[in-house]
Amino acid sequence: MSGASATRAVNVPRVLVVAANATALAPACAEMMRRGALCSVTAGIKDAASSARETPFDAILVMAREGGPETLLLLQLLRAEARGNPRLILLVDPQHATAYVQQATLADAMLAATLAPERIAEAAGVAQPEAQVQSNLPMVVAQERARVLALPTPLRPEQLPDGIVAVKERGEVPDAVVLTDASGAHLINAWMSAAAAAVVPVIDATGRQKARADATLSTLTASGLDQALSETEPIRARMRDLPESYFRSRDARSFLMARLATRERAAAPRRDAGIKSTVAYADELAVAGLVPVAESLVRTGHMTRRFMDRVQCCPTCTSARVSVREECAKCRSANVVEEPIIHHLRCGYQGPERDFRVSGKDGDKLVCPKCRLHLEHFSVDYDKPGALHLCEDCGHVSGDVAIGFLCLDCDSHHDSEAMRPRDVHAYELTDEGKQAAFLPPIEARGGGMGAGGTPLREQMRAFVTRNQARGQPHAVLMIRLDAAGGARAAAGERLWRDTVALFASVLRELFTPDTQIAELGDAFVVMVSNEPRARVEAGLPQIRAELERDIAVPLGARYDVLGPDQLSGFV
Amino acid sequence: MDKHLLTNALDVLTLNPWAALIGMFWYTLLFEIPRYAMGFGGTLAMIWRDRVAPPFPHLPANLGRVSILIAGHNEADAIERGVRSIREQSFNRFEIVCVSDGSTDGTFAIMRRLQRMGLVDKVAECQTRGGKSSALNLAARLASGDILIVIDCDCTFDRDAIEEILKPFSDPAVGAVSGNVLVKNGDHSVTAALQTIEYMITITLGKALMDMFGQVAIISGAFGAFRRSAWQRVNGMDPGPGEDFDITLRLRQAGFAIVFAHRSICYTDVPVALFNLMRQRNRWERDAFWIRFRKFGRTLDPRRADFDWREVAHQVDFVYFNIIASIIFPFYLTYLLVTWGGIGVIYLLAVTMGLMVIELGVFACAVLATGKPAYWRYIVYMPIYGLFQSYYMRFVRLYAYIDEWIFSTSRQDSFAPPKVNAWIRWK
Repeated sequence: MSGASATRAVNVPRVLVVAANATALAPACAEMMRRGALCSVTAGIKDAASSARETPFDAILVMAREGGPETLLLLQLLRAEARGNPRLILLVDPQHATAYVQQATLADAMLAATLAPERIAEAAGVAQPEAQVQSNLPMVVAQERARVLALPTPLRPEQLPDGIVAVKERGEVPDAVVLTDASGAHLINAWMSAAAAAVVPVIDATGRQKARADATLSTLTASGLDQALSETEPIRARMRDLPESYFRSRDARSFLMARLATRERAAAPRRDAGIKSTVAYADELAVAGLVPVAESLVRTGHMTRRFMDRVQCCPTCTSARVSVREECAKCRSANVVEEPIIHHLRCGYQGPERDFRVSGKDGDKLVCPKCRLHLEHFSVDYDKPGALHLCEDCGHVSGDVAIGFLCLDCDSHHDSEAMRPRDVHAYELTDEGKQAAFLPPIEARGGGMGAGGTPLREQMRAFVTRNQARGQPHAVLMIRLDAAGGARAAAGERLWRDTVALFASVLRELFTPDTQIAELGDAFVVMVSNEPRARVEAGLPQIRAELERDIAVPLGARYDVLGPDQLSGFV
Repeated sequence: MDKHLLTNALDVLTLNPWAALIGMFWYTLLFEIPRYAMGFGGTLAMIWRDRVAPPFPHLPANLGRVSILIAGHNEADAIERGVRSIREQSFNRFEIVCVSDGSTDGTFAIMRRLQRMGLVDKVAECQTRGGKSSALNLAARLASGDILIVIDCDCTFDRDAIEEILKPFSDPAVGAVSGNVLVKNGDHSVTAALQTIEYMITITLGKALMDMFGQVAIISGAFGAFRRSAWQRVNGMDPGPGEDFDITLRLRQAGFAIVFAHRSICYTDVPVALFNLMRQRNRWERDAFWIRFRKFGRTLDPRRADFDWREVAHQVDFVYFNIIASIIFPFYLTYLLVTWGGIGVIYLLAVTMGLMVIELGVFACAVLATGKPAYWRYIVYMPIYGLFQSYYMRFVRLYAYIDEWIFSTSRQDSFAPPKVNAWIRWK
């Protein structure tokens, strides 16, 4: 990179700007030209790709389009066909930066389009003439204390404290990542392996990525960065204790254990109204799919979980962003008002206050609709023993209201029985988990589930391997409830959960205690040793009858029996 | 038994039979024989009418909407069973409106749960108790039905009870219909078994007889149906004791026909202990006395413009068979024993045995009229039923009438809360 910069200092920098609306980038273009760069502007994908093939640009600025796939295609084309390996810079609307994560992995930097023209010019490698001169001056290099990676834009020399060296090569594991723009958080995984991304401390210099960061900076200065690096030193010290094989691992369980062990804390959820689940884990930004990974570690005893909350999720789109409303039990309108009940003690009439209210010249009065007497004295001749709910839309009157849930994401409406509750937990490493985090990764120890693997797959592999080694017949009975769909919806969520729990308990009672049974929501996998597939198939009608005998709710169950031939693929 | 005493008793009867009959059996002849004769007559008339020309064989063509009103105070133990029983009806096109009247035992929570389950349509809660009348008035206000059926929480029903109670509304003149109430806990004690017989005779037979003459004077609070227009004409329930009797008399005075549907059967629990029965009947009789003579005493005044002989008839029936018969009975006993000495005791035993034969006949009529053969098993209690009625219930009634007449004890009844009682016009 330093060599390339030196070349650019001598030659005139060439920059291609690809933007449907070039006006937005006009100031940046003007700034780059002021600094002596040659700027070309184009709009269409075809033209941009053609220009990039013909001319060796130093940098190409791509303004993200609303249609994300178009931008992705353009970046792929540029990455594959552009002449001279130019620096690709993606400019996005900061409000929608997360929509371009996939595109960002193809770019060298993702910047906010609203960034100052000077910053965009610098990101494109078009420096001030005097800065170029300065960068070519010989300098005294202090003893190296740490190597930091700044994303998306590199740090200026004056921002680097003594002994801190900027990482410039992809794949190198830095001691810390400094986010110079909020979009940089999405580039971390593009710059280093997932294992490194999970543990390398992140310093946020933008104030907008606190969730991802281990330390924050109010202003990006050398002294501030020095202090932030000191704050993250304990993490870096523990990171250095991780085995070398860890950084080659692809096991998400190891990532999570290492991350939490280096930070000596739990993975705690926090509320976030900006996402559908409404609950997020800061660590999920570093370790994708945190919850299933943590759950698998709970099952293996490496983690414990602590109940934090229960959120209600829309059964249609699983969003927990729901509006809970008091509704009319008849028409489900939320236009319900509460009105006191008046009891006229003298004649025994009892009804909503509107029955009694009479407007006259002297103002509102209460007159009993039964005996026409004026109500004069509360608690002497009339009482208010309760309240009624009146629907202003359909006129329905009742002492109670229904509770309805309106999904704010898909606009569907549900009763409480239909909502799907989801428990939220905090996850903490056990002592065993803390020790395991600094051992070679699980996969390296021979017990891993491999990339894309699941605990079930691992269980199945162990089951098949064991039986093959012993030369025993074996089979797997797979049961899927609600296989054709509709059974769950017909039963309602609450009844369905109870039914599945009942089914699971009957299933466990039906087989011997040493039979392995894996539960996956509405599906069950029964691993039967010492029985050939034919015998399990022959006994299937009886098994089915026993399982479903005491269950009144239609299960829509599908039963499949797999023999050694189908199961050998797991080994 | 002294042989001479028996011979003397026989001699008195054989020497001057008419004088003996009138002198000794006048009470039986005046009060008991007519009542039993009317029972027989009523049964025969009812059976004949049912077979030859049933008055209301079908549901009304334009029935309209039907609402079932349940008002309960601390009925957590009973409300769900009652609602489920109602939901088992052959006629099920109705809404159920429940009002919790100041319950503190979770009744309203159960009502809300039943509403969520779709078994109840509307619920309301009064956090302070206002009495059954006001709770029913609120339930009626919430209801959308053209026919309002009032039931008690602790009752259960035959599957066709609602259908049968609705049939009489095919006659537009009918303003309200009383259901038939039988006992469901008759096997719990001898007291309960005797009340089972009593309910069959006085309600199934007694009301059927009154129905023949258009004299149904009380729509049971446990199970009654009202045309909404009639309910509104009399402005619903009034506060005070005996609200079911009160609204029936007001409906009669407003010109509505009141009908008894003997096939529309609900079952209720009766007091199991003798003491509880006495307290309950004391309250009922006091209420009846208060309503008949204090609130509706004007019905006996021929100078009033709204004087109606039909109202006089059921008042006279009550005065004669209940009040006068109860008052005279102790004097009759005294007279018999003082005048006739030991022979009087023999005659009383003879009368009791003779009446037992008649009562067996009445019991048979009652079982036939209910159409429930299972009730034959209570025949074993018939030997003591006559004694129970004559020497226990008659004195309970007498005590209640005197108590109410002199002390107006019904003012202290806790049936309605004090804040409501304070406004009742006690005369």
